[in-house]
Amino acid sequence: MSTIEISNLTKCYGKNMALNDLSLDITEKKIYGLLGRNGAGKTTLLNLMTNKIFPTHGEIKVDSETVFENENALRKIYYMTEKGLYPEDMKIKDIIKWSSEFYPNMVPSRAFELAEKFDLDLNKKYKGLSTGYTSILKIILTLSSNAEILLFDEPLLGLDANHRDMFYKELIHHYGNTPKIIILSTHLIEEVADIIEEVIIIKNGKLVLKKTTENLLSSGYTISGKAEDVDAFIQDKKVIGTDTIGRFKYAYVLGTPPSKENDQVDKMDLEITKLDLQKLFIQLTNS
Amino acid sequence: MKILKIAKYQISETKKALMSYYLIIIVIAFIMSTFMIRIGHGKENVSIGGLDFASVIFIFVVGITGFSDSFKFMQVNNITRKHFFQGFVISIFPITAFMAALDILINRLTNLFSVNNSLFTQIYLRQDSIARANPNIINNFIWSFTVLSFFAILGYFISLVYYRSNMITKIAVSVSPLIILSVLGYLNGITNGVISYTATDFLQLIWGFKHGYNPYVAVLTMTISFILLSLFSFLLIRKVQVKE
Repeated sequence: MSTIEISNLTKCYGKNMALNDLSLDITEKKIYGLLGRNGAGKTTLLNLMTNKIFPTHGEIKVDSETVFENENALRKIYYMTEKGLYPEDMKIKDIIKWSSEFYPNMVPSRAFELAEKFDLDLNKKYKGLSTGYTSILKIILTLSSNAEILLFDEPLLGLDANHRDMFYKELIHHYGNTPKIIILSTHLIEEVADIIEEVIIIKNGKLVLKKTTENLLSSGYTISGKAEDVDAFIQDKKVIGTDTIGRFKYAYVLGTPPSKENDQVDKMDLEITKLDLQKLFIQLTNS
Repeated sequence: MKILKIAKYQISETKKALMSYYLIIIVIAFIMSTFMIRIGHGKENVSIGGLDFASVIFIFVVGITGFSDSFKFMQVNNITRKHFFQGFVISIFPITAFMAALDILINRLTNLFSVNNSLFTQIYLRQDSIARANPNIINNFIWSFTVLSFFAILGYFISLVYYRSNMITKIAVSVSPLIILSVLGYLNGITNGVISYTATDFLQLIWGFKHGYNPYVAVLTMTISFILLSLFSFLLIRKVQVKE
């Protein structure tokens, strides 16, 4: 089973420190959500994990082997980059063909099957693809690579709702068939909240938290109802945010949720639901 | 094994351009030969030559364009820089061997109808009319192969220097040959031609026509230069990163 060990990783671009002494172990086969605000260091981290760039300090190991210029470690990872690194004049079918030369475990027939599902024209040249179809091609290559570790950097860029839905289904299907470490870096937190099993949040190049989604969401709750009732209820609570729609209000509260039999909740006709991952993320990464 | 796949990829990327290039060369050779047969008034008076010099320019351009796009594609496939470089170097040899062989073949064929002096003939056999009429194909092939291989790695090295450079370094690299030539020209003027004499002497020596005409001196020069440029290229490629 593949594991990733990141120790004391620092990456500086001139005076700007993109990652600051970050240490992280990813050992279980799960779908991880790598979350962070713009410039938090997510892409830098993924680029370092795949030897695209070099660290200023620190080390990354896959199965105890360094990833830097190490074919053994690198062939275990397929990284869907945000950048388009494919030859502009190459046809999609040739990109798949050549990728399968370099990833011997890649199944071209699976890639062609996915291309058909996503309605991707195999005879088109890479430069002729729209942003959405560029993402689709990269998704297809990643999912059919059969690598032990899959990294997705902004996989949903330019995808319409239908294609996003298809992506989630294919990802879950793939993960169900062959459980592995999958890291999703995205800003569409609300959409992926139901898929990711563990959340990794980085802020200003530092690890803020690494927790299972379940544990994280059970650290609080959402209370909703009439604005004045919600305000009364949250008076002595630790509130991380509120949303008001007309006379209706949502409050995101940290702590153990009250039981449904709670008088105040019952009297005021308030509703208690799960905490919203995006709200929690905003709270954790604000300031 | 992966290195061979990388070499295979590099060769396949060059294949189309190579086919188009030779199609053009064959058409030019055919037109020139026809033209000479018609108005050349016999083989003795008119000759053509230097067609294979175009191959030197072509392979130099292949070297220059062989880095950037391929590097990105190799990066997306998690190929290490070391293997990518080794793959490129290996890919040079079948391409240059093919080109050297085809250049000789075109030259020999056109010589059936006209006089077509190859670069090799012009440099090494100009003093010997018998050898010129029937040059040693093996010597010609080895010489062409090493010269083409050298120019391929030279192009690759130059593209790497530019890729690794920032804007100021790029300008400095571009302008420096002009500055060096100007300075040498000036020094040549004030030293009564010592610089140009030394440079000519040096070039004749490394190309093998200072003491007689020996193409294998050039083969040795090109081989050593190829190895040195490969080493420098590897040093440049070791820490190269994809640019935006």
